[in-house]
Amino acid sequence: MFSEKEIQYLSSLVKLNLSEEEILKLSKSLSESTSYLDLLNELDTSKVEATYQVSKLQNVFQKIDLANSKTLTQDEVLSNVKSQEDGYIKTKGVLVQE
Amino acid sequence: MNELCFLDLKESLNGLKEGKFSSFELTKSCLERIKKIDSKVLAFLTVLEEEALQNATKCDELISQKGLSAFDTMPLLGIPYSLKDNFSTKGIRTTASSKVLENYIPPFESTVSQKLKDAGAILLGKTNMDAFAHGSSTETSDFQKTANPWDLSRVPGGSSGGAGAAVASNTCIFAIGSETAGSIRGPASWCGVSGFKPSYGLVSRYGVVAMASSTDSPGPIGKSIWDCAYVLKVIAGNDPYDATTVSNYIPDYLNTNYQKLKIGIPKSYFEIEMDPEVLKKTENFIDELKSLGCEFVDIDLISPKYSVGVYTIIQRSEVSSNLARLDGIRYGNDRNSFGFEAKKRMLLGAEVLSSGYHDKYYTKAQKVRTLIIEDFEKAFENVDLIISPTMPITALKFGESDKNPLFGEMMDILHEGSAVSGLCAISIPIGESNGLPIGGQLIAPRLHEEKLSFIGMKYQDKFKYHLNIKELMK
Repeated sequence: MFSEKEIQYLSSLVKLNLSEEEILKLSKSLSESTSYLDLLNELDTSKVEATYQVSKLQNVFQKIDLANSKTLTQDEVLSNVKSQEDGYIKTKGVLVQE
Repeated sequence: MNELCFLDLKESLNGLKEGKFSSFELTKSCLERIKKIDSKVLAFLTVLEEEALQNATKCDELISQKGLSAFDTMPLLGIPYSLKDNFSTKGIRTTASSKVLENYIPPFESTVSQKLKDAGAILLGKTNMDAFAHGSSTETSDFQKTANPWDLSRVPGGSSGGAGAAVASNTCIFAIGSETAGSIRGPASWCGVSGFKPSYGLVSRYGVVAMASSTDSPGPIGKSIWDCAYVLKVIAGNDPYDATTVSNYIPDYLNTNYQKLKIGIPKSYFEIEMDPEVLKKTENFIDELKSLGCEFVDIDLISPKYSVGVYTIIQRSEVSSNLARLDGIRYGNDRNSFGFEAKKRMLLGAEVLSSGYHDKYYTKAQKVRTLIIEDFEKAFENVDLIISPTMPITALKFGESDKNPLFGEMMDILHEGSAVSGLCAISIPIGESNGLPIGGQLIAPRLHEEKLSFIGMKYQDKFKYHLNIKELMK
């Protein structure tokens, strides 16, 4: 079983606040999931390279084509922002000491 | 003319071209069907009645001005369709069925929906899905539980459950879904319709709310394989806004011919726990394909139980990275709005990527992925296609998906190997058991969709299980 502390640590990595009930449920579900994942150790991969993507494409660049650019306007970028001021996105302070 | 919504895409196109009915009448028929039955099915999250009818009128004007030549450049002119709600639509709410994106109005359009718009297709509405496509039942949607039109007490499968249910309930002519591993094939199977999962990179992911970027594949769900192949041709191809799309690939899915196709039966895929009725119908599917001239041989593939682990690790890792962008600052609500399933997936993703576990899980999974890819390559040296059931069981009742933390992964056990390898596959209706549809799966090598469309179309010319949705919810 994953301990409460381990779950808290993982949730801090993905920036989630969890309730007591969620921590309990996650501790059980994560343990069940990882024990299934351990099945992979049955396969010998000592001489196998990893595959991270299947397209086999390399170094794909986009042509600079301003006429067809999909760059959004400032208004479009701000269209879903809840808090803004003078054309900027307004956020809470990020350099505040905890 | 009534009940135009029951037509498939091919019939709809022929009717429009022959002037038997207008796009307005066809669109109106779908919208009326939505009004009549979608309060029970709950396939749609957003219905665009006014816009759809306005667009239909414009299409009718184009057809009357240009005649048949209008269809040369606009191959889906006047055809109403539904779009899964993870495709960004400019000015139209796009939620991915999550409260995080409850009020999100994209300022840009996904490549797939743009291509469909350019081809003249009419967007009827956005369909429900598992939130962020996390699931195989559509029950993790934060908004509503879509029902299976074959039995309203059951789920449609997922994550493109709204798409599958909309096609099966004849509220649209075709649907666009997306698949990471099983999200097109699964609902197609459980809803008794046809699903086409394209090879990774064939259809652009630009503007699709990302789930697992290394396997996400948008694709069609339709009333026949011909319909799916026709739509696929419209949405396939290179996109400068998605660097993983194929560089230069001009498919012709509708006009291919094979003298004889050799199909492999993977023992390991038939050895998993499955409903005996599903097995029986799949064996019957094999016999039917034999009668069409296909040759069958037994093949060995790595047990799909390993694909579950590989897929789970890769997908959870990519999910935890992709969902990191949702901070509620630039758009959407903050991270407290995530549902439990998303939280669970992000945490497992963090675990398998965290220092100390990275090699044990993440790198290990990517190495086994190589083994699976090589395994398929070896098999395809000897066969054209690989066959199996699409799902190990028929559609489940609501609430069953909660019982196993890897429910979705276990349901998609027959899709994950081909998904992590980027292969293409179809699910095709092959009969029913206790009033519930069963799907058969055919898998082809990467970028060999034409083999699937050829045999799928040939099969449905002779065996008509795909027509049975016409009898649903009359």
